Amino acid sequence: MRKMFLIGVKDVRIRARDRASFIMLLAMPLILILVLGMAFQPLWTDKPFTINIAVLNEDEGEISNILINDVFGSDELKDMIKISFVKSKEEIIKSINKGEIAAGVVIEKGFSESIVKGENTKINVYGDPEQTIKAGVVKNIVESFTLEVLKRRIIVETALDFLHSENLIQPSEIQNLISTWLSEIESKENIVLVNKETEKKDTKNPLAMEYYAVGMGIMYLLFATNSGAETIFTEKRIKTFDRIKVAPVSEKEIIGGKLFGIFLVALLQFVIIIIFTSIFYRVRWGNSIPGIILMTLSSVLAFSGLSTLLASLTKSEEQIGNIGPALSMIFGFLGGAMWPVYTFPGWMNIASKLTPNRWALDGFFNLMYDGGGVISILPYALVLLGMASIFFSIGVFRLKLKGV
Amino acid sequence: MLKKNFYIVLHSLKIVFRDRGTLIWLILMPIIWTTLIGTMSIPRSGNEKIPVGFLNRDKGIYGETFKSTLEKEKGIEIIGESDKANMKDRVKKSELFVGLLIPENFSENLMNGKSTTIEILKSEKSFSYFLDELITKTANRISIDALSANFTLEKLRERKIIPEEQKEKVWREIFQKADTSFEPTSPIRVEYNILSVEKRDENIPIGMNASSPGFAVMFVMMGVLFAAAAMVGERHDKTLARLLTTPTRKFSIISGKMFGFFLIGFIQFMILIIFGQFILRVNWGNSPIGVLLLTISYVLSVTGIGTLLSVFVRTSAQAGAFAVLISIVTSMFGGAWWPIEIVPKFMQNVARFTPQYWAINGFNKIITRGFGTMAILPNFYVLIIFSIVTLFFAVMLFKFE
Repeated sequence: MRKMFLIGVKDVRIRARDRASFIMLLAMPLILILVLGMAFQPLWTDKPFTINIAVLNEDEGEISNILINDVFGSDELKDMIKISFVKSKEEIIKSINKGEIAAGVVIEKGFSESIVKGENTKINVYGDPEQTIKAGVVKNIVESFTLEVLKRRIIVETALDFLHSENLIQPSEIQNLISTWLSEIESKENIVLVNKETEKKDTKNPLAMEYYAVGMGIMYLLFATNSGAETIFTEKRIKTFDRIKVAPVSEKEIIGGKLFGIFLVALLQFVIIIIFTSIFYRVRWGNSIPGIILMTLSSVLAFSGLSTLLASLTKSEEQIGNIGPALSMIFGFLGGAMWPVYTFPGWMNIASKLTPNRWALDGFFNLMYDGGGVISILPYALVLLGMASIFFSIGVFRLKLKGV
Repeated sequence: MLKKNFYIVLHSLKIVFRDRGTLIWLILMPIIWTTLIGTMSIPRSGNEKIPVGFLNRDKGIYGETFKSTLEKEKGIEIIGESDKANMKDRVKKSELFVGLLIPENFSENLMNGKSTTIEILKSEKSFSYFLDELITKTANRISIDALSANFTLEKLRERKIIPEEQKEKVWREIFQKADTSFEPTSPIRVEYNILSVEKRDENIPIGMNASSPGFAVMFVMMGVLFAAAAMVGERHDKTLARLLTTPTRKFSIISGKMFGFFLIGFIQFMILIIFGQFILRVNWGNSPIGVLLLTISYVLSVTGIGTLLSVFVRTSAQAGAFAVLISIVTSMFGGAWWPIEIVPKFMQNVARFTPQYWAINGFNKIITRGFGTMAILPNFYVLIIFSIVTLFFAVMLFKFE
């Protein structure tokens, strides 16, 4: 046991001296967490971004002014939507083509009048193909507004139509009825309300930084374990392996020691990431210390196992050095390290569950967002440990066959 | 001189293409990656639908009406749920984007003109801003129908006696009638046009079209940087210095090396463009000259960066680590990973300092906006300036040992 431990510690010390692996294993994930956190932070909030739009108001009527002043200019939207007024449609198209505005809204002459007269009319919304998300938001806001405008009109029209078809009103009364009814329903509010705040009220504000701290931290575990597994080949190449073999150490102890080294490097890396992100990025990893320890250990074990398996399937440092990072990125992506998994199509969601990343992420999120503890993360930890034991047994078996 | 130059170039290419591992990164990985990411997007591409859980506790029929109205919105898929706790759980597990809960007395309240509230269950991890708007729109439409029905029924009863048992039937009839006002199009239409070459019908389409140029740009940078990193190995093995003993001018060696890196990036880019065009069906546009100008100037600028990198690092392991770090991080900043529109203003400004931004912006002008060569000239000039600066320093600082 002691010899195994010594081999492992020796590996950690060699790694610690190597500046390239320091960059790969610590600087890289920490920088990525920062960049991703900064990029996506606004998306997690109610006001995800500011949207520059241009408005061409040829109408200048009562109703188009409501859209501009009371909808785009409302307290809810005025910080998000920045309007510039233009004089022609060409200006809008020009600004969109330059990418200066996300959308242009064109209200044609006679718009308000048509609505007052009960005629059909339209608003044109032009969107920038490079800013379709923002343009889509503008489109939805304008559509909501048209519904609001239509409310009174549809109520009155429906009533008139219906009563007329039942022969309950005379054509001569219609004009009078319209104006009395309109004032009657002046104050009618929408009755189907939408409560958008439900889940977020009782929990803290989520931070993109937190999401990516977990996502990238887990993704880089595989980088760390792979770089450990690479040293198996390095030692063979530079013959230090043969040197260990001549020492009174059994084959079991050598393999055990190397695996322990892989585990230790990754563990160290992950612990540093947890500590660094909680101090400098204010990431809250949850309140259950035993839970964090359990998730950390089982995740590190699962990835150590995966790298062992990978080492047993590859032939050289170069091979594992090329396949390893590619696999880490694909697994990281599938496991939800880069984008939340609900954005995945069905088949990818299933594929996602075959990666240890997904289970590790879900386990940590359980601790962070759902106030979970050891009991609630047990399923995730068990799956990870199950994966670890499968990976390790196949990996060690094959490594032995190859005669490490 | 040219002949020697040619051999040095050939030699660099051989070093890179000899290694099968490098090929994984040059060709295979970009293809896998673009395909994977192309099948999804933030929040979604046009073909994939956002899963929305729907739990209808309503005892009447209007919960279903709400559902069928919402289904008319493109881009979402409604999944029936039967249990609140279970739906909450599915939202938390990210299997559903959000969950909608229609209350028990939804229809009853509508018929009595009382307000009723639909709950949206969200997860901490979802940004559902886009969906809120869609759901509110549907809620407003149902509101209008119900308000119309109540108002009309009230007026009807002022003029005619309606037996209590018929009341509901008449109410439904009016509701239905009011709802037809929105069909086939609303009386106030919102005509939505995205100013792109291809007409897409949805408001959130960023699948392959966005990911193909972006990731091609990233992986080409990675490819060139890796190739340059390989030169660190040559320097380490002293084979680079050995070239100096041959009757070859220094400048020929340096330019030959750099031309080698350039060719690797260029070939890789062409393969990815062809793959994107024919397999992923990304339309690389109708301006081959524009694409070519952008490709050349972009690859030149990363060649400069790659050569500079090889000057500053000592071991090839370090070079490799930096190659990955630099290409991924600058590509994220430059807008290769996600549409640049969603990031905060200051990050959009930072983006302008990366060559990726100018390349992607230029490709988008051709691919999505359908512009010609003239439109991308500013991007081309910026990239050329990038190239001149980086190549100048790369040549000045070039080290043989």
